[in-house]
Amino acid sequence: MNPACRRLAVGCLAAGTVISGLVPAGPALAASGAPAAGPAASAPAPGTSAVELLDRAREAAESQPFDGVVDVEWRDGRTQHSAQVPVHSAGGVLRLGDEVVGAGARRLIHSSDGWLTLWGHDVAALGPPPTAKYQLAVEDGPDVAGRPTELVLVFLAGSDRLRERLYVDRQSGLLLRRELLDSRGQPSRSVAFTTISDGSSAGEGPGAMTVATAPGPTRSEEPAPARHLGPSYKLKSSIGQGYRLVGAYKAKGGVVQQFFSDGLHGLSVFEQRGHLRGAETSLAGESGGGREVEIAGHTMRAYSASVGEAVVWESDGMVYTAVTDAPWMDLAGAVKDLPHADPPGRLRRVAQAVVSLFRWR
Amino acid sequence: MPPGPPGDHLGDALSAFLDDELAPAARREAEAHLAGCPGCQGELEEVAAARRAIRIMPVHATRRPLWGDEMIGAVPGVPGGFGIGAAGASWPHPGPERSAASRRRRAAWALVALAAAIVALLLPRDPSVAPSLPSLADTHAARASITEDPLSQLAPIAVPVRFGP
Repeated sequence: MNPACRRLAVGCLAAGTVISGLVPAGPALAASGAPAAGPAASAPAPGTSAVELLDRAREAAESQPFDGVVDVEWRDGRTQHSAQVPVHSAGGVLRLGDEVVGAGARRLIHSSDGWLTLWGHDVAALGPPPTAKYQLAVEDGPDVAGRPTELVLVFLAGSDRLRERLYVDRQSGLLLRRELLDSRGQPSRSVAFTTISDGSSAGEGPGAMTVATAPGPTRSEEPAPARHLGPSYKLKSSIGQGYRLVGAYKAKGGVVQQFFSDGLHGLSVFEQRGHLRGAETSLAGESGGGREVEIAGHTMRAYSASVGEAVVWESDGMVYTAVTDAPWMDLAGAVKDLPHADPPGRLRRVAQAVVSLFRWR
Repeated sequence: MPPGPPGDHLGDALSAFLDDELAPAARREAEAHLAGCPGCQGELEEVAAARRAIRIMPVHATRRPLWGDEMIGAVPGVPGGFGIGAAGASWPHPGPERSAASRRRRAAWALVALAAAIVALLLPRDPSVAPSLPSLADTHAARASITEDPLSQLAPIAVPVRFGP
């Protein structure tokens, strides 16, 4: 069962208590390039809640054929970045550029060594419904890529500050634009279609892919569920503001990933045994130095990228890297709940080395 | 030490009497007093008994000093160690054989300590780690795209990842 469908069943129950936005029936789409209208692509019924719209968007991204270009914008410090990514979806295979493929529950990325599997299985735990943390409202949205939308407004529960805007295609149900807002209400990160068509050509021809014919991986870096972890790994059931543990995984190189969700965003905490030497910041040889930040009285290194925000630090012989697609403040709040002792001084390291002589390894 | 006035008991003079430290005249007076004073006779016996008991107690040498025999020998006026005189308890001055053995022991301990330090340096330390942010970011986005919106999660990793500023 598609995770989106499962969440729909759960999320709709929870949504009824908070969601008040009603979706007016949108006018029929006249655009000739509209994605094909399948069962999930029909216009939302009046009264469709925000949670239903978001679940429908998740499902549509995996099932609707379309062809378009997505503009990814992000900001680090005062520098604004943007990049365009061609997107194709057909036969249940989502292709982003020439390097990223989503096929069912498989996630593959292309590198110099061929296709690499990053993920390959469905998950049972879906995390909290977004309404556990957020208050959602729906209103008529502007056109995005020439298509009318429903606008989902995301507020922190109990707050009137707008955190995020999501624009959902009335006809296909696709999420056409997503904007994370900073404390001044300005977009700090966005993903938006600039053009979109029905993608009928993407599912045809000799190069067309289906879930069954998606590229086979040359190698796999898919993390395995972590059932038994050593005492040095610190598992948390929840961190920050509303982030609940959804899964813990072991990856290559002794890296343990804890994945948290607040219902709209993910936050990963990677733990590696060792001492922090620095951070490899680029696949292509470009390096970013990051910036120093202070969290809970400790100095750490923070980075911004198209993917989101990251922070790296060391505590008690473990190196932590936290990555999120959520706003920076969410990440900083979560890091406060994680270990962050200062690195040991030279004397302490010598003492630890001597003590280690008498310890069975 | 002269005894007290005639008729007084001997008191502290008993000790001088036993040590034969009284002047002849005083000793005669003490003897005369003792002859007629059963109290002083009894006290004299007690003091004498106590002295005998102390003399027959075994004598133990104290612990060797931590700073070694050479140091003791080097202390001016302390021949062979820190003797305590009358009690007769003192460290025996080591002969040349014992001194050599002691040096060998210390050398052996120094070697053991040096070996331990070398082993400590050679033991595998926790590795130095340089997290690969792009790789970890891809891993995060791939996992997040399973339960969150796949389009908005995966599109950013299709952009060549560059962490800045």
